Amino acid sequence: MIIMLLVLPLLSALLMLLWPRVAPLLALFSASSSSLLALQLLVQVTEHGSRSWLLAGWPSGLAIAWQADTLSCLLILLTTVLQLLVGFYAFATRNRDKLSQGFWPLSSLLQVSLTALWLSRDLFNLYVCLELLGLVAVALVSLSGRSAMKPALNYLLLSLFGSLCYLLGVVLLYGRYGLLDIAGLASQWQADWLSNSALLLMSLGLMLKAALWPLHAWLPAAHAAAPAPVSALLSALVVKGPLFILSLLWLQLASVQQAQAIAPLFAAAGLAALLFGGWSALRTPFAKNLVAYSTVAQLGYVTLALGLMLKFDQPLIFAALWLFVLAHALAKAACFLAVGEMSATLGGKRLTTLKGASQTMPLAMFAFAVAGGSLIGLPPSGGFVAKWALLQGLWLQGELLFWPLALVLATLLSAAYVFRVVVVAFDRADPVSPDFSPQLIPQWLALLPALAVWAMALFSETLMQLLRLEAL
Amino acid sequence: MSAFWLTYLPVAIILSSLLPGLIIFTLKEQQVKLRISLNLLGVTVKLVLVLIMWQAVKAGDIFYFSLPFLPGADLVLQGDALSLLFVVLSSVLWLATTVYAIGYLENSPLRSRFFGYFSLCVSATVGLALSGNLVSFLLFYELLTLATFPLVVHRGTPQSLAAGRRYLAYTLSGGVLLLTGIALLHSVVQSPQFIPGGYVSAAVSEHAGLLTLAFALMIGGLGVKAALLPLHGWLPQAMVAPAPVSALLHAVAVVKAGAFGIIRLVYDVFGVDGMQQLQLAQPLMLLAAATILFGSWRALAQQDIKRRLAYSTISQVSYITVGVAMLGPLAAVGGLVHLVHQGVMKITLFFCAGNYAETLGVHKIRELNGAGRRMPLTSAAFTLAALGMIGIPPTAGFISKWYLGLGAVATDNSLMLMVFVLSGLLNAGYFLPIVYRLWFLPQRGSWPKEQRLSATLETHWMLLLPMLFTAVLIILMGLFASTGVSPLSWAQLIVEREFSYD
Amino acid sequence: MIDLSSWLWPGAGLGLLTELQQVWWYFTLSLWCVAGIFSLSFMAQSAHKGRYWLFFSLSFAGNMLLIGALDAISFYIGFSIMSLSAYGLVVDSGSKAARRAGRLYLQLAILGELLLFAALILRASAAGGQYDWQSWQQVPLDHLTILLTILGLGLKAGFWPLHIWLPQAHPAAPAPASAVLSGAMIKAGILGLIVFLPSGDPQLQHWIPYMVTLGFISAVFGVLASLLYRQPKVILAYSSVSQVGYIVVLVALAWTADAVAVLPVLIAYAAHHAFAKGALFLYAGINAKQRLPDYWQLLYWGPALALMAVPLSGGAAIKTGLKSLLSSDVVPGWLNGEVLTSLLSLGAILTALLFLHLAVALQRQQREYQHTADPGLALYWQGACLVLLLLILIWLPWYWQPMLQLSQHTLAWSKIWGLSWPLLAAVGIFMLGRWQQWRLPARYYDRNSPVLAWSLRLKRLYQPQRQWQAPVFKFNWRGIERACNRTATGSVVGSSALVVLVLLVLITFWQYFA
Repeated sequence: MIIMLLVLPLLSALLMLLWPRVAPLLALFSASSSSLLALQLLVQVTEHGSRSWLLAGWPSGLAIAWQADTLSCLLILLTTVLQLLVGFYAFATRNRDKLSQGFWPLSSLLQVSLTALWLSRDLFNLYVCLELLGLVAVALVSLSGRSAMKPALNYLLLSLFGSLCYLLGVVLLYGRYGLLDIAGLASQWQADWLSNSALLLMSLGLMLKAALWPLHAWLPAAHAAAPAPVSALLSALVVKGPLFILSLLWLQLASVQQAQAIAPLFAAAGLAALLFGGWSALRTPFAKNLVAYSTVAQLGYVTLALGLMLKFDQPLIFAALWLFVLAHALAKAACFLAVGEMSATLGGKRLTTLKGASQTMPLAMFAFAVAGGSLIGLPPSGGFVAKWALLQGLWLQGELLFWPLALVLATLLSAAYVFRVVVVAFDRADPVSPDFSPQLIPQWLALLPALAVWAMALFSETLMQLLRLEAL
Repeated sequence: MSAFWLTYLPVAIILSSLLPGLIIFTLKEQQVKLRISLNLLGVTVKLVLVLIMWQAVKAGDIFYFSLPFLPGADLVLQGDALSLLFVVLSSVLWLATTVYAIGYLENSPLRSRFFGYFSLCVSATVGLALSGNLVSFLLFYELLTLATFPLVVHRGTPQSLAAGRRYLAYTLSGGVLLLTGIALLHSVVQSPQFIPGGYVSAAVSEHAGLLTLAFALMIGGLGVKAALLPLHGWLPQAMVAPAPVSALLHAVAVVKAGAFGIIRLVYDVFGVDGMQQLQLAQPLMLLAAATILFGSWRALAQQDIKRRLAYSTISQVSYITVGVAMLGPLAAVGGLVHLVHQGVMKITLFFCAGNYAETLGVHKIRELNGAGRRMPLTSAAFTLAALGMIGIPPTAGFISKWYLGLGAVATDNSLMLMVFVLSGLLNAGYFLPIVYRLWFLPQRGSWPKEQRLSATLETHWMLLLPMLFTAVLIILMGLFASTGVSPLSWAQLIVEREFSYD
Repeated sequence: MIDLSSWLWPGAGLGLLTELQQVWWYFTLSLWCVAGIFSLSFMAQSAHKGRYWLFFSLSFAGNMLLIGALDAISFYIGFSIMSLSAYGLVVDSGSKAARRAGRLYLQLAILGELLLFAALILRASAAGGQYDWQSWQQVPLDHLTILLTILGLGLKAGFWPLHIWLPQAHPAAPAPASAVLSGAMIKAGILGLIVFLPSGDPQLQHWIPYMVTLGFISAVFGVLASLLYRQPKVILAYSSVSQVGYIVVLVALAWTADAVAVLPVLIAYAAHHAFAKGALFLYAGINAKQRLPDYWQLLYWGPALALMAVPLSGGAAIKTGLKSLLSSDVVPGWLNGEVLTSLLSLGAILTALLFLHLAVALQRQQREYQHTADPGLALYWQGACLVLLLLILIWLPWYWQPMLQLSQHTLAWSKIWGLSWPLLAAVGIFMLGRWQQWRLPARYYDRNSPVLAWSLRLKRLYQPQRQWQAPVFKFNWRGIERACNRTATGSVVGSSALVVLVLLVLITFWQYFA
């Protein structure tokens, strides 16, 4: 079954190249069937515990190690479902937006690389996935045409640079230990100079790819330049891949001293991301840039949670980390789709284009607002649950003042930029009239993930339970 | 009452306004009749359900509904006497406001959206009243913020957008503070159901500092909506909203949500014992007293009718807080009953202000000269409500001030009695000049923008009827305060049953 | 009695249980009725008839309610309705002076209202949630409550120094309204002082001497102040201040443990003053409007002489009663009964002087009209009201039981002499004064009272045009932001790579040293 999850999209990508005409249908078919598979896998894993494979029958140490635990399964499910949703969106707007045919195979490849990434527990294999992911992502960005060339190129360069750093680290480690699978490495791990350097190199590379502050500079331009469905995928999923590896490295590989030493840096970077990202989102004049900067800021939560997790080793914070990831993925997909839809219909990139959108495109605006609510952390949304878990974790550790205060500040900033859009949308004095009559289905598709992220709150107890177990 | 209803009646009460609201969103602008019928249907169903619940709670039934949410904090809806006080208030005033809004917004654009959010707002208010623990309360509290924002900016003018921004800045900050406080409290004692006497007393000796911090944070959060002193800035600006919205905001939904939260916090979370052990009541009381005086003082200088009313709200709502913070049974009765009385009086005042604006185009106080002749019913209602605000018998305002005063003396807070007297003077200082202009000064030139909305009456009957209804309520609640159906008797029931005084 | 406690609040009820209430009820009712009948013709040409009658009936209702109340809250409701509606009567003419007077009146009425509210709260708390008079009798007082009650009700009763609104409001109101304001409404304050403060209370005893002093000051002050004014209604208003002074003395005496002897005098005084002052205000109203036939002066001298306490009048009866009270040993505290009785004689001289002064003022007013108008039906109607009041005044001392006893005491020659010599002295002084042209410089006459200026200042205080505003701190953060943006230009790739390198180097160094 797990093989099917990889093979299905790969196969369909190949078929799409052969028959471009049926590409959308193939993509939708593969995404929907993978979603079902992913769901089944998740149910299996929660019932029977995590499973690992050594591919191709090689013994441990040489073989490619795969592991499907609850977290991976959740992420796979998220990936496939978002693929499906974005696929539907792209399908619904294909005539209007003139989306290149390249989108369909590329998105399937994206799914393959992500799924593989979530499953891999092997440094080199992770590298391969990462590289593939980066290339596909750059290709997707460049689908926008000429205007996206520069951001795409920047993205490509930095992505390669990041991969290189990562690869360098992997090489160092392989030279030192002769091993690549994480479990094996962890058992022989020694906190010496070399492994320190290797970890640092890998981390920097990953941070660059995940656009963690202060290495986020490429992200706003690239995400803003991409077509709406692509930005949704990039923001929701792609940046989470390197992040996943980063957390694997530090949580499973690094020794306690190393983790303790790096923790304040991560936390500080997260806080800085929240503040600077939030501020930039508050000030940028372009709608999609706003959402992209919001991604930078929201990734700050994740970094912050990672730093705190390294410091306190508190399962609740770990749960919070991944809840942030899940909630952000859903919410950001909704945001990008909604903003993309509005920009397309109202015809303009600037935020002021959205003037009066609450009147002209109420559904899309509603989707944005609902998703924004989760970004802010209003109850009962996924963002709220994550923030709640983080706060509870902090207080359980006796951390009373500074970090909660920082969270409050960050929340207010995110509220400020989300409502910046909402307020503009309510400006009825001089509404921007749509270029053509707004389409309903894409707007509903934008609303779906937004509703899902609020529904997440209803399953929060289960989710937190699962994720907390994962941390132990 | 069957177990089914004991569980699902609270949900049904929330849904009775939520569902019509959601349906209304989808309606077209021209479907006026359908929209009105849906609105009225929702109101009627809600009133009937609330009536059923009222009877049952009076008989001693407890309503309880829960849904798993966070670990240690389910989503709980419960119907006890205190929640019912607020539910009845909001449902009855929703009825009045709906009728008023239909008349007020006749032929104006975007009515579907308006009524949709209007219903959402009431659903959030009712949910907030019915919520059974702090986390559920927080949820509805935030929903209320979100549902009221579109109403505040409904006009879509730059001015109303600025007000909306300010409103959001304040209420969201308040919401974040409340969230932090609730999360902090949760980490100390979890978030069980609200119970009379509170649930923190076990932790007082061990975590006094944390509990105080949590209390301060939560009061900060609730204080934004209840317009406590440094956090009141949004309220006067939110005046740019249409009159029914201001009426709802001031009388029922927003400010009362804050005040109601403070009541819950003091009595059902910290409890009288906890408050005394932590010595939290005194600062809260002084803060509220300062707000009373400050609001009244600020109101004196306002030249816009609605702005003056807004500052008056700031002052009047803090009476509730003072009543709660004095920690005595009589004071609590006063605070609780003021929750209702202030609502009815303030909504009347806003209806009147709306009538003047809509019929005569009058917004400034100095333009009101001689309006008593042109609009006698409106002016009479205004006068009555203004006298009630001052606390002149036999209006409702007198009853609440009376109990607050008795409570102040009973808890040895003669200072508060002085505050009430002083505030009464200030109230007279800013209300009576308006009354004077209405009745005793001759009209000055023609009205700014007069409309003949009715052939026989002074204005549209839909604008008149709700206002008269609430005005009559003011007198009835004042005169027949001791009867079994009055808010006063209900407040006494709450205090007897739920506030764990001996 | 009507028991309303099941409907309203505990102890709520209406009824006339005590003699005090009955007497108050009847004289108030009659005065209001006469004033109402008088208004029918007097106010027929008024511009705001509807408004006048609305406020007239509202304050009427309030006044009757407060007298019939058997509990404090009903009293307070009646009191509020009466005080606030009377504002409408004061400003009825709409003239500038009336509006000014009305403003002052309302300011003080509201102040009194709220002070009384505070007193009521304190009292009700002490009584443990009971509001009826019966329960309150047993509850001891404290000084704060007494002070608040005296201030709250005293502002209505209008004795010195709480009289300040009275000389402004009474002249401003139409004549029938002044009649009830002076005759009935200020008595409401007096009634309150008796029912709120139970006689014999130990704390209250400390207050009696001061109140007696206050009463005498008020009595003397009223007359002296009236001599400085020439408008008849102002003089009448000051006369009320002076008369209320005597009533306050009686009230204070009624607070002593044996109030039995005092109460009859008190109620007689109140009733008598109500009718006499009512009649005088009505007369002043007619007098100001047209030239009257000379014999109409009879209608003035009737009540005036009664108040001056000429022998055989009701005034004589009550003055004698008061004197006998003061000379007996009921006078409490450090007061000297003899000094007080001589003060009373001085008071009698002064009162007589006041009414002579008033007669001159009325004459002066008459001289403004050249021709005697034909007294039409309206005037006869109004005259009939006056005659009715006059008849009551004549009837009272001889047919009404409480006063009859007092009147019978005045029949001795010594008493008659005791009553007459102050009058003769007053006439003598008055003649002397006119012959010698005793006058103060003109600037002392008819001055605007400083209280009007205070009232205006108060109004500016509560209707400010501008208020203190919190200072706004301007901070040019946009400039800073722009400067930051300018420095942050450059290629994305280069800067990111640079950051990576710098970080790498920094962390490596740090690791090396750590």
